[in-house]
Amino acid sequence: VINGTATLSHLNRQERVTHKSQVSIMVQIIKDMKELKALLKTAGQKLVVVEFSAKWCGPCKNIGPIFQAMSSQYQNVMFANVDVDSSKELTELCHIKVVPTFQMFKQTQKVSLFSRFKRTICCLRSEIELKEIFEFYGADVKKLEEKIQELM
Amino acid sequence: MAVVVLRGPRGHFRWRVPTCTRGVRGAASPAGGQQDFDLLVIGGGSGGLACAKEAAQLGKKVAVTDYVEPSPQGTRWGLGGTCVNVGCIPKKLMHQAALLGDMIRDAHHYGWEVAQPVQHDWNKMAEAVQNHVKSLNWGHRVQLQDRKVKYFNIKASFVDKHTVCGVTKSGKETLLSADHIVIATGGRPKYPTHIEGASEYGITSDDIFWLKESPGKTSKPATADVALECAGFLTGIGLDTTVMMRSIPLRGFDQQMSSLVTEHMESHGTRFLKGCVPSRIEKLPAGQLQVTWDDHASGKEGTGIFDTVLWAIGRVPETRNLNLEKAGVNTNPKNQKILVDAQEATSVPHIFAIGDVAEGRPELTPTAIMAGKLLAQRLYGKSSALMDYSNVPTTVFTPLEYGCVGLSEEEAVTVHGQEHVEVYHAYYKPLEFTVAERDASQCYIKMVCLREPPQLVLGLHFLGPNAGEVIQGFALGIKCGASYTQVMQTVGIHPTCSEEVVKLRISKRSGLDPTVTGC
Repeated sequence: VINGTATLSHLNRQERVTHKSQVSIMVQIIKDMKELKALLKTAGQKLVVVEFSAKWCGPCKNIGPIFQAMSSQYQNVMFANVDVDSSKELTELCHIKVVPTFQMFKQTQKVSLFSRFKRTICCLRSEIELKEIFEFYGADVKKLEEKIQELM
Repeated sequence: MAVVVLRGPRGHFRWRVPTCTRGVRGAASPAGGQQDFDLLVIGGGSGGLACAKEAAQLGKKVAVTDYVEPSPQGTRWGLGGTCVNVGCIPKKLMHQAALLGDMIRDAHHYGWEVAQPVQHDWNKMAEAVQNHVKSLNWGHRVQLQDRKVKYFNIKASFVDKHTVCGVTKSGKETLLSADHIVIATGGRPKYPTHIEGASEYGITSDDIFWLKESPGKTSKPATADVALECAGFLTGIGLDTTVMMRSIPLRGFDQQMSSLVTEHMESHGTRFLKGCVPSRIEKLPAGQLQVTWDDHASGKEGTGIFDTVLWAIGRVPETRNLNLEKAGVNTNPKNQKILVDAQEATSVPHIFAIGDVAEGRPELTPTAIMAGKLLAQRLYGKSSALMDYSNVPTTVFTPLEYGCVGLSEEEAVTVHGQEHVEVYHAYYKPLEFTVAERDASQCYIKMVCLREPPQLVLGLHFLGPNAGEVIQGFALGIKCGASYTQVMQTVGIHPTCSEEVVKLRISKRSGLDPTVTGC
């Protein structure tokens, strides 16, 4: 897991170096539950914001670029996107009914000797507590930004 | 071949034979083995989805299978059936696009400074229409999830009368079984297989709404309302369109109204080649299509060069690949449609068929939906109400729309005899056409009634703008048994086109002139 995090931040630095003149796009595309769980694992303590969108949806097209801009603005928040048509199973598992929908996750960390011990031994196999802490739908930029600032 | 005897939920025994059409043992390959439901609906279109959702709402365990075989041109689409993807919805939106073109042309009469002529961008319209259709595909998927209906994107066919085998696009097989099965697979456009080059170079309504490029100059061998509707909006957005007809347009509709429809289209730019039958389609080196036809009137052969050939010669039911014989379901040998009774039941008591796939049913979305809901209520809701297929209103969305409910004049005369039928009629001019100097020659209404007092209304036919909106209300009147006397007593809303219906006073029999008089 530590390796994964290091690689990710290395890539991010790389991206930042090569795209210095451009806005570095840091919205990860998530295809299935496996990838979502992996993302949440690498997020660690960071807030994770997942945008569920569709190519045919007008409001999604409007808020999409703003979401991408936010991803480079808020460096300690992780941003991801799921296309509801390409990832039907994940969309259904997350109970998405409307597009765009924004779901925010934060890993809960129980600080105790037992849990820390458990983590060091079987961190590769431990189940991440997938806690969705907030969800809203609609292309409401103000609400999105407010919530990110509140929860990060 | 293993046979398993199981106790069903109601304690009766059911034989389950876990083999698939290809002889693969059910237990061996599909993930999760065989799945069992109260109701299995084959076909996720207007009828199928309505029936499935209603049954689920009544507490049943329901599954829907939907699969779109790509058209010869490769077009495919999502959940929702013909209406949503390649029928009513995209058609009406493109019809609206064409009507807006007319409005833009009228606008300067009303004081708007609009630069003429205005260009139309096919790509922009097609993308907008397709996006809306995709949002409907999404909506249907969400609705099924909400009602806990299990959806399978698989091509289904019968293994036996309680079991269906479904195959995914990638070849994976699943077995599904159910107490009741509803077949709602609808139909697809017919291709004239005996005409050289027909399926290679021609497209149908399956493809027109999904074209990424403008169809350009189009030729349309046609009989159906779909043909005229498509020709209508293509002309309306500025494309050179020709309709080729062997005999009469709009078969099954009132023929006087049908000829007024085509007359209007002809005077507004659509070319008609009457009494002509195409014999072959060839592709020219530059990419265009050369169409050759036989002109039955002159006995000569004709040719023309077009960018697109659109076949609209009728539809065939989707029954060929269902393996209906394995279930014992009978079809009409002439047209392959499934034979059903008033309960929508097929030759097998627990297998039903609704919508376009069933014999003798109108090929309309609202009737399929209502039949589906009533069927679910009869099966699971203790209801005994049957679907009433009489006096179903409908509208053909040609440039000048034609809405109707009840009998055509010909049908009324056949059923009741000329002496017992009274037809009231009138030409009228929509107020909005006056300032815009638009031609209203075909704006016409006729009401077919019984001659004997109180003169029950048998049918109403309206040709003009917003025909669908006009006829809907009158359909209720006819359902309630309205008489001509009551129509005369109804006050009109002024100024509308609708009011002309309640102002009908001149009968065909009187011989008086039904043309427009002053206000």
